[in-house]
Amino acid sequence: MRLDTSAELDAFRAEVRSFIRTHAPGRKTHAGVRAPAPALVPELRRWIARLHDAGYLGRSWPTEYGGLADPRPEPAFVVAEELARARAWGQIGAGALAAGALLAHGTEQQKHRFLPRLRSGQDLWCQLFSEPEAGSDLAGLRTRARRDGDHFVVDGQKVWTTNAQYADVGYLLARTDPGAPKTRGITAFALDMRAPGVEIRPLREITGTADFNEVFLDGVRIPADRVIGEVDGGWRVAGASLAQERGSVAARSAELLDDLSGLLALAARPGPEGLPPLGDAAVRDRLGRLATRVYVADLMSKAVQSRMAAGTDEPTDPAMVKVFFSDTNLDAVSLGVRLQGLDGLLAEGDDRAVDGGYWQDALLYARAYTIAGGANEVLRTTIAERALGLPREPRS
Amino acid sequence: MSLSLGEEQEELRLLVRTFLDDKATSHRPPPPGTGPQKYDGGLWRQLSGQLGLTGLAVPERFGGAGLGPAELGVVLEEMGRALFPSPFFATAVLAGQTVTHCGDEAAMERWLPDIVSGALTATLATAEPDGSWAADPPATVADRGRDGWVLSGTKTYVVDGHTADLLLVTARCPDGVGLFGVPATAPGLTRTVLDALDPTRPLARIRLGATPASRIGTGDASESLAAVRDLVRAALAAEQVGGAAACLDMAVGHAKTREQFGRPIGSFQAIKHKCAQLLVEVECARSAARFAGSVVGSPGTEAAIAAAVARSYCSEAFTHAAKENIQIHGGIGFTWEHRAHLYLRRAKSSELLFGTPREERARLARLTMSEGAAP
Repeated sequence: MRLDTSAELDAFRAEVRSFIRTHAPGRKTHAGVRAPAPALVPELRRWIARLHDAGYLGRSWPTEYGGLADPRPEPAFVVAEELARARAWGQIGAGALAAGALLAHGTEQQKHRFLPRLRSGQDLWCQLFSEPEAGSDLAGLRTRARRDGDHFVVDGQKVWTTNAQYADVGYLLARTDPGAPKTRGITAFALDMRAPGVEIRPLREITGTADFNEVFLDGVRIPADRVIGEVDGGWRVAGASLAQERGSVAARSAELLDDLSGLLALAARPGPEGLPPLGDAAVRDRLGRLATRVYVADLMSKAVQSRMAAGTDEPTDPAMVKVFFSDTNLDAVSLGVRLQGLDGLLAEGDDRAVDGGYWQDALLYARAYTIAGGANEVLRTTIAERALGLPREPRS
Repeated sequence: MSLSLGEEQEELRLLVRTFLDDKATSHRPPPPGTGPQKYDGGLWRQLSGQLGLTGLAVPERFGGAGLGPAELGVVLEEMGRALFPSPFFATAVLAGQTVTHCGDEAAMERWLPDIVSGALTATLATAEPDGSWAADPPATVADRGRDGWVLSGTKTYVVDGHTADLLLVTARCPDGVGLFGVPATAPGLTRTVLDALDPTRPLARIRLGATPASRIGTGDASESLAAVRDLVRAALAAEQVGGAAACLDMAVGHAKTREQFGRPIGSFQAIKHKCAQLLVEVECARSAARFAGSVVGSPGTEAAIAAAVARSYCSEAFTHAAKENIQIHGGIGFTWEHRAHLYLRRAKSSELLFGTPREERARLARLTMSEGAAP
């Protein structure tokens, strides 16, 4: 479904779509936020530079750092949607998140050093937030950063770091004041990923692929001028940078709509006795239920986008979109496997696998969406407390 | 077009909300077995004649405001929230929209001004005892007698059918499905109020025995009735959103104040997660209903898809909210005096009116397949 937009945005969409068709390197074959093959990374760096040069990424940035100072979120939604629809790569790693932090809290020197390198694809960033003991409870992170003259010395372990193996800079949260209340003793840093003491180990997930990493930090020295924002003020920095991730609201529903087309094709594909699953009323009902949810997810995302554009959005809007999207996605890809009948037994390594094993991989990957970026249970608690004003639970 | 309300729509919403808050908050469920809730004629005249709500989606040349389904949706969301007993849905939506889209100028001139002023209440009678809403072709037959058309047959589940001044009835004609206007006082017409699951939305069975009727339009009315059905479904979806939102508000209000084990029950995660899930569903339902309200009435499959999506989703969201509301209220929610059961009754009944979620999903599967791919 689409809403009427301005002629200008329609023209922009057409331009972006054609740009992606002409220039985008490769097409993603797996669902979700995945690590590119090593050989593709140099090409992706050039592609990221190209997207910035065209004004498609970093469009809202001030002009002195290469942006267009465009305050509207709509163009960013269009870009995110078109990239997702084409299953094309966009910014990889934590570039948008880091840019948000630097623009809101960075020093002039940091902005001049990091932002041009980020735009040109010279620096890929990764996000060093989650830890083995700090998942949903991010404020419980234990990685320590101790002041040592004009440096900080960092010890600890990070996990679920996408693209750490390719990243040049890490956007790190570490505890600088263990005595302070949880959220008050955390500091944000820009960490040189090639510094001595940084060790990256790939983490193999249930999909069989290694899209995430563990990052071990052992006596890593960071110059004090790489602190982003105030010392002990990192929690606020992290909060501000999340505003840069709003495009994901648009991207997710574009993926779902694409999956719905795929499901309709699967349902029309002749099964064992030459009959397509669609001939079965129960299948039609399930497909109708799923189509309902996919369209509703898209409309909900559009409603939130229009609230963001009007400045009337609520802090919990992205959480609501994410909860609904991730549950719907799980239903969608489960149905994708189910519609294959016995062929659902095969995975991508078998050349007879339906759609190259896309659905089997997506089914396994679907759990990343219900867990990452705030497990749905944690988000429901947040929604209940912030949007509905229900009393907080006693917390340690 | 936007999924957020425009300034004037927001004003309309506030107007209706204030009116209903002032006038209609205190109605209690009628005692069990005493039939459907009666509406207040004074309030009806105020909301039609004074506030102009019955004429919102009626063309200006008949005294209406010339607005459309989006504005009807705004009003119905508020009425659904308050479970406001009135013939508004039957008169302004079912009958008003049927006449507005019937293409028969004489019929419009005859009835629309009185619908706008509130002088006339009306409804649409399509369902028959065989259990299908569309009843296509209807078993009710229309014969041309010496003095004009006469209808014979039975219509049922007619919303406000026992009180409406005018009944719009579908019947089988030699040239297809015909639409007819029958005054409630016509000879040979008997109506029986049904013991409905939802006492706040009265239903009646109408028997027609060679009852004289005036034909609306010429030729087969199936197509214009199908377009009206999309409008009705979008309006009903908006009403369901209001009902679901009311259930959520009641549940949250209770969860904040009711204490057990020394703390408000709303501080327990089990209750919080139920409420958060309901909020997600209410927001989703509202997006779907508003989109349907913004496209129904325009040609093409998009309107039909949007109506099917909205009805399929909003139906289940409302029922879920109504069930969870009773659960969160605990024992008090199980009493007749508490309004929680009225919302469950309304939710379950609204699911069944004008197409069940399962039928909507089947429609959607058909429509999406015929579109070839997702739009």
